[in-house]
Amino acid sequence: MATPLDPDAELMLRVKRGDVLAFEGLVEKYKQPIINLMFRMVHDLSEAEDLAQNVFIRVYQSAGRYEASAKFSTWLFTIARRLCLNEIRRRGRHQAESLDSSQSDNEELPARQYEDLKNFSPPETFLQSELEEKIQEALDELPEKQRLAIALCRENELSYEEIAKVLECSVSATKSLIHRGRETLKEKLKPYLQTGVWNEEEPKLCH
Amino acid sequence: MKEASMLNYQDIKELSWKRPLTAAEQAALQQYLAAHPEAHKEWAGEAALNRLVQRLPAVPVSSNFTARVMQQIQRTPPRRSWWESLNLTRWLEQGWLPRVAVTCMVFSLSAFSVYHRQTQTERRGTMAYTVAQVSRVAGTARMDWLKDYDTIKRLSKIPAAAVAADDELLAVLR
Repeated sequence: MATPLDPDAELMLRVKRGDVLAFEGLVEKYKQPIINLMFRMVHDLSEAEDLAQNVFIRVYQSAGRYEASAKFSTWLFTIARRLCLNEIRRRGRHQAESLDSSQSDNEELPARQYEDLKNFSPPETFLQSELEEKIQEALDELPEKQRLAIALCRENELSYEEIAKVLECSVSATKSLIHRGRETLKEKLKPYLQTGVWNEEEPKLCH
Repeated sequence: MKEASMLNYQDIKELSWKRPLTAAEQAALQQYLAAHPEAHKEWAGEAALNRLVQRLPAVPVSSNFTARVMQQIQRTPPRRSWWESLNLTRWLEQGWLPRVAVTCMVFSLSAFSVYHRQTQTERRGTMAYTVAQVSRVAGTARMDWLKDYDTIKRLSKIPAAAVAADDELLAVLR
């Protein structure tokens, strides 16, 4: 009995036949997880959106060659991984460019519009954003493959087998990457893990 | 996918990395921890990190992100292979002239192919006849015909001056 086709793969086959609306549906569905992934990797919102945009453009341009041999999400995240790692390596070779440069390159496109964030009371907002920053800093210090594995693990669309395909390694190697990354994160985030409160100041020794 | 009762501690840990555990999985975990108190500390660390990572919020996405992507793809058409880029089907639909041109080209190519094949066949036939003739002669050749071959070959290389000297010799001998 034939395996039923992944619904997103069916949409992508329609894109292959020229259905632009089907492509729009895929963008709507996957924009959040792709931008999440990009942000966890590059830690810059503007750049994360630019990278995510490039991922979808690449997907559209490759529609003619698309084969529904695997889940669409695996293929999509594989493209995202390649673009993301290329960008990280490019940044490693060149100094960081102006954050506004990508916007100025596309002056004909409308500016990005963000909705207002939820209103937390000031102390909670401060603690929440500081904690998020600490977690993100710890992630930034991980080797890129471990960071990528942990970021992909957080996205519920992908099983470990699919993450392994995206990373182009075995399932056991994938789990090993995640485990090692998590051990490093536990070490870096120990103050919060132990006390539940972020407390960077160590008690001063009296001489 | 394994049933909760068949999961070992490592399986449960790996599930917890991706999502909150189900009730059955929690029960399996508690059963394991009851039997292995030394694992409590490690599990506490795992659970704490899971909570931290889960706290990372979704990154805000610009409300016009999809519109920007759609606008961009209209500017960059899909990549095509060289064959697709020729767009022959569309070209043929333009009118009768392209169709006539293609028909003539196909006919010419076919005619040339037939002519070339016939020429090749005739050449092969001629060559085969020549080889047959030569082999017939070569088959009847006798070895004594070849005994003066070297002398005859050397005679052809004698220069004209030397030939003139021989005439003088003949005149003296008379």
